[in-house]
Amino acid sequence: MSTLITAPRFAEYYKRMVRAQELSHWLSSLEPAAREAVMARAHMLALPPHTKIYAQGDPVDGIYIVLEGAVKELAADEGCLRLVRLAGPGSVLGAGELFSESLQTMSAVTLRPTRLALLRQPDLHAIFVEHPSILLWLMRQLSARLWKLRTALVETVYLESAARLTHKLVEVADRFGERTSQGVMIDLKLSRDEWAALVGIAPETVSRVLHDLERRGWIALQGRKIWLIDEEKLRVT
Amino acid sequence: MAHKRLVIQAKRPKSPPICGVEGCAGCSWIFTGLDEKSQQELRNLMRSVEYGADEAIFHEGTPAFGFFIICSGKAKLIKQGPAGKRQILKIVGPGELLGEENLFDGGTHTASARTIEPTRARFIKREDFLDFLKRHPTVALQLAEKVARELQSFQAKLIETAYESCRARLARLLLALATQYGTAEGEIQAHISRMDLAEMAGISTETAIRTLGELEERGLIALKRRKIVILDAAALEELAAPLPVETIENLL
Repeated sequence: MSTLITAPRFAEYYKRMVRAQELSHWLSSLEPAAREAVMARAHMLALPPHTKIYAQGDPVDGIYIVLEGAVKELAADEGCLRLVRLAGPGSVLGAGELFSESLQTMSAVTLRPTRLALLRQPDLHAIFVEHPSILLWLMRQLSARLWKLRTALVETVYLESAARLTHKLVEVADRFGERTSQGVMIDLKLSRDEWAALVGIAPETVSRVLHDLERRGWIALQGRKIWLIDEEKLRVT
Repeated sequence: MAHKRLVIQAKRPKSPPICGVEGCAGCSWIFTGLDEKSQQELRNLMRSVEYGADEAIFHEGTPAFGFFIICSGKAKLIKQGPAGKRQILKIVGPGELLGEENLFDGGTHTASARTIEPTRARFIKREDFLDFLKRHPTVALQLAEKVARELQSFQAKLIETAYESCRARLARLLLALATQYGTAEGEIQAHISRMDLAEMAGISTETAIRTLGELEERGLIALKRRKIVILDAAALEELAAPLPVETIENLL
């Protein structure tokens, strides 16, 4: 007996297939059996921009794999923004907190329409038991983040504020920028304070450096949008 | 601003000695919970290595063939910065791991390691250990926890470096060193040069020397050649505590 697949059902089926393929792309380094176990247990989330995924101090419900879109993570202390991290496709959120059994150390908010795969803690544990290799995959994510943090630390100690902000502009443009006729546009609607916490410099310095770069004609500013006009110069700095 | 207490967590109790060498005070806590047979299996993967004082163990950017467990002595993990500058990421002593974070990410050392004192260590090959981890998820989970805690420490250290004064950074470093290597009398038992201290705190050597002098003058510490004794930990904590940063696993 054949089942008639209606158009909407087919569209739904097709969407599910595409999502599954995407997740499988980010998990490509996993063993096939472990990959399938992850895909069977993952909850797919599609969130509009400016949606809170979790808040600093929340209990950790699992790990989130970003499939598409952009997410900002913010750590604040007494209302003062201390650290900002941007996550894009392939980033894993909440893994550090999960393993150290702490509460969420940062809040996460979507910046664009974002799709995530959520692996809840009990499901993850079930997968660990059957497929310990998933742990090695997660460790690779943790190590990569550790490496980034250490590099940032050395830069914070030895590079001047202007150079660090310029590096960050180029890095963010590479990950999240959109090519326009004017140059690569960064449209993440980050405030001056968020740029400051992303780089680890004072908000006043952000304004000063951005205006200095604009005066030189290397970037263009309009509201919270930033265009990289002279990428070559920015990359050499 | 209300004074916040600085929390420096005590280190986890070590696992029983794995190597079976007499006089060993125990191994990293990530090996806790292994039965005798698994311990033997791990022991069979180990190779002994020895280094003199101030000798390179591995270099940043070179292939990582495995990781080290320090048996005796101390070593520092160093990251190269722009224009030949360097930052000491941490100091590891007996029972601790060196180079374990590169087991998973393509096998290149992301920092250099150099001994401070004559050091004996055990080396385990990368493939052998990954295979061992797959068969011993408890150790894999404990290692994941260790890396995750270290990650949070570096996150805290990054915030600290971006926003805190040199004095606060140095005070925090001294307290962390005393927790890890200090005697009951507050003497830090590690031969760490002023330059090393500066590179750990992320400040210039001149600032480190000046700030240490200032702390000694205020009666917070005593300096005897390379030895540093903490005299007033509470006052140091006050200096170090404007940020509620917990220094956890291996902040040093």
